Amino acid sequence: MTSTMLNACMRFIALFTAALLMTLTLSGCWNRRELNDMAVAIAIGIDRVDEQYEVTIQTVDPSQMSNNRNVDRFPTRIYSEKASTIFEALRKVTSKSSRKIYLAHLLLLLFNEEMARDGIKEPLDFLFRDHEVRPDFNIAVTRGYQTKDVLSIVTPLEVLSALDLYRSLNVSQKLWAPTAAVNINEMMVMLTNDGVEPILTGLTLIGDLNKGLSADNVKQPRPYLYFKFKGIGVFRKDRLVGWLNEPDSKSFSYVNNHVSSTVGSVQCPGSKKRFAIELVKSKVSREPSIRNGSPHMKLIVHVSGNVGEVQCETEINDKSIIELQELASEQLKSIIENSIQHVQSQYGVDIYGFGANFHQKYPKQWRQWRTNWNEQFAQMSIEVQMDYHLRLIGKIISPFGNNPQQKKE
Amino acid sequence: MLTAFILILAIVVFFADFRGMNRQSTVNKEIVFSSSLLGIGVILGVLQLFQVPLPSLMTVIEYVFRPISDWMTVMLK
Amino acid sequence: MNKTGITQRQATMWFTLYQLGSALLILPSSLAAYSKQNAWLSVLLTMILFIVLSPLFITIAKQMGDRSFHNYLTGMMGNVIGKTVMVLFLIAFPFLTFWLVLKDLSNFVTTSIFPETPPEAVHALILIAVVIGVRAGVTVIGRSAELLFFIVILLVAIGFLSLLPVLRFDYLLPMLEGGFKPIFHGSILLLAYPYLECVLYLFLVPDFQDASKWKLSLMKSTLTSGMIFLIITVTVVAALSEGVTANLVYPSYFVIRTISYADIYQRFEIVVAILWYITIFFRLALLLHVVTRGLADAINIKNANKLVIPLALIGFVMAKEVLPNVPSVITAFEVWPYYVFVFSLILPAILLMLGWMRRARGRNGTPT
Repeated sequence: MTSTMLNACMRFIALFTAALLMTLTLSGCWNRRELNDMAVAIAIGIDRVDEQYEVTIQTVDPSQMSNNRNVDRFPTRIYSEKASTIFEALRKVTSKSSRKIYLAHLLLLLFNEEMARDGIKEPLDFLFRDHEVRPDFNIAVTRGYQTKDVLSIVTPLEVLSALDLYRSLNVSQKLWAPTAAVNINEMMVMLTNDGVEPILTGLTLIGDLNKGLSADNVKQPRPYLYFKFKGIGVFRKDRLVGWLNEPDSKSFSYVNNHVSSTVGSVQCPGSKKRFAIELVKSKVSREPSIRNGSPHMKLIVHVSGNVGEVQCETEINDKSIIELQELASEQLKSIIENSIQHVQSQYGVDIYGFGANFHQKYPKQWRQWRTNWNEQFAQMSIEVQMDYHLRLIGKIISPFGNNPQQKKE
Repeated sequence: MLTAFILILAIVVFFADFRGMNRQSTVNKEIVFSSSLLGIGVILGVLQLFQVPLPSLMTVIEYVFRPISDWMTVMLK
Repeated sequence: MNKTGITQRQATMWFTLYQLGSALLILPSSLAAYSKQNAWLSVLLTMILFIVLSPLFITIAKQMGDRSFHNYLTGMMGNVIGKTVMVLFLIAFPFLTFWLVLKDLSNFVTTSIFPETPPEAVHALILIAVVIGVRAGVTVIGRSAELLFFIVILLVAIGFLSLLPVLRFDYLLPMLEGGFKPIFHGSILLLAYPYLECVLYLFLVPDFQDASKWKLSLMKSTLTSGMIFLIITVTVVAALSEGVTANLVYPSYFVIRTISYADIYQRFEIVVAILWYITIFFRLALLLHVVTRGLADAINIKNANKLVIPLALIGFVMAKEVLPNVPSVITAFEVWPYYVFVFSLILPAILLMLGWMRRARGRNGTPT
């Protein structure tokens, strides 16, 4: 009797000890992170300063985002540190901030133009490698300003400027073609794939920088300083070589099928006025081929659009709409052809990914071409074929106030 | 540190098992073998605590099979 | 009397989870490194090769009949040689794999999820579950395989089918670039890890209520896990392109991280980690079960459960020692297939030949 009780006792003690040891050591206390020990970073800017990286971090102050906020304190905080690696700079920030930077909510990564010209694959390595960093933020290059300044501005629409920039980039990629929201995933693919060269959108500020850094910027309807995404930057390997102007950037978006909706204007037949088309569907299919041993690319542009704004004097009927369609088609074709020629002659860098198309269709030839593909690209012949359709014309048929040319009897 | 905890934990749990074995007065072999295996485990654990480098089987495997692997890589290039 | 064992359905599910366990996370990376964008063709080739090689194991299973693997081995090779070969085989193959799998798990958890946790904590937690499972017996593990199988399939479906909108099938072109050789190279790796570990399933033959069902389990589980691998490999390469896949350490985890729709259907990659935990559990359970059962038979003990805790402790300690860092895991993968071939092709072939020789001698009238 007693021995069984003793046995039960021993079992209990053994199990209790085991459970105690387990809870003390295995409950995952190593990786706990209290919310008030984290500074959530929503944007990072990397500048090149004297051979080092100057990393600027925009963090959120969560208590200032709630309803009872202190109007004098601003919701975002900017920290800046210089070091020779990005990782060191982020840790150095703790000497200024009471919290450790938490990178999982990153929205935006900005590079200084000088940094971009120096090569971006080194600073990107930390962001590729770290486990906290997620692949859903966008990358851009600032033109003419340090990222430190760009991240410090007060933006008109959102309280968090990184959120404003991120949303604007995504929205403008969809609705106004000359920008490209490149996220880090696509960057990885562009860097490893040898048939494509990377691109990044440019970001610039317009207005008075000093006034834009304070809350005065948004105290009246017209801000003193606002940001603008402008141009697409062309990279060779991982270094910036130049910027595309607006028509070239737009046609880049067309060729790469980034456009989901955009607006363009065309000159009216017979007058200097213009009419605007809203493009609702755009798809460019590529047909690589080989002519006389050198690569040739045929682009077939399928575009479907609606007439959005007519300033012309003409009536809109089924004959005139064909005329408008022809004009729009010709204009788009020449924009695309000219811009590809610009890229070929000015930069000689295959940003469209034609190399990847040739790799997929002609692997044997690709093996010979891949070492100097950019030279091949620069001399490649391009053919553009249009398949343009104008379908809808909106609520009214002909512009109001036009003198009727002919009255139907 | 943690290894030490786990070693102690293992010994404690084994002890419970051991009592069960002793009670049933089962074959001696069981007790001998399981205790000796436990002994090996504890010795290895203690060695690891004292940062004594233990030999890893993988280095031997790597050494022996690397020529075959290289040959196959060349064959299959 | 109904022999308490494992039903064919449970065994199929266990084997499938076992095969998924190792390769789910790591293999797309190695496959893409060898066969680039044709990694999915490697998966197909592996399945074909395995179907060709499977008669090797099925014949051994038939020859085993009702005997345990140990009895079969000693029947073939004689008592002393049989026992020695058994013990060496156990330490060199399943036990070593046990350490490697534990190390894999802790590497993954400490790289991607909990960087400051010491790997021993991860080892200890999963080992506690494995020890309880193995001591409870094959039946219990089989039943839990039945329960968890559908969760795993569901999570795989949610994770990988959500990627359908972002797949670019032109990342899978050109097909057969470089010919068959790179594809074959990739399929060697996939064949060895995990398919040829089916030699370990032979340890479970006596637990089947009907020994001939083993063959059906094997084929069904191979086909199921092969299909899942195919889907995963195609999805990963089509979403990320082969250059990126080959450079990532844990590509399937990363690719699920990229899912982000409408700002709400996002950030659930921990789901893949959970299903990997489940499949790793079944892998460790089978390996530990094989080692304890085999060792118990070799030293002629009736109750194998007494050996489980000491062996798990040795596993826990050695898991830290077996490979020092992550790049050594990647290079070890290059030589691992050839090592596995010794145990899973050469050894069964020898056993088969010995079996035939004995039967031939038996037919000639000489008593064995």
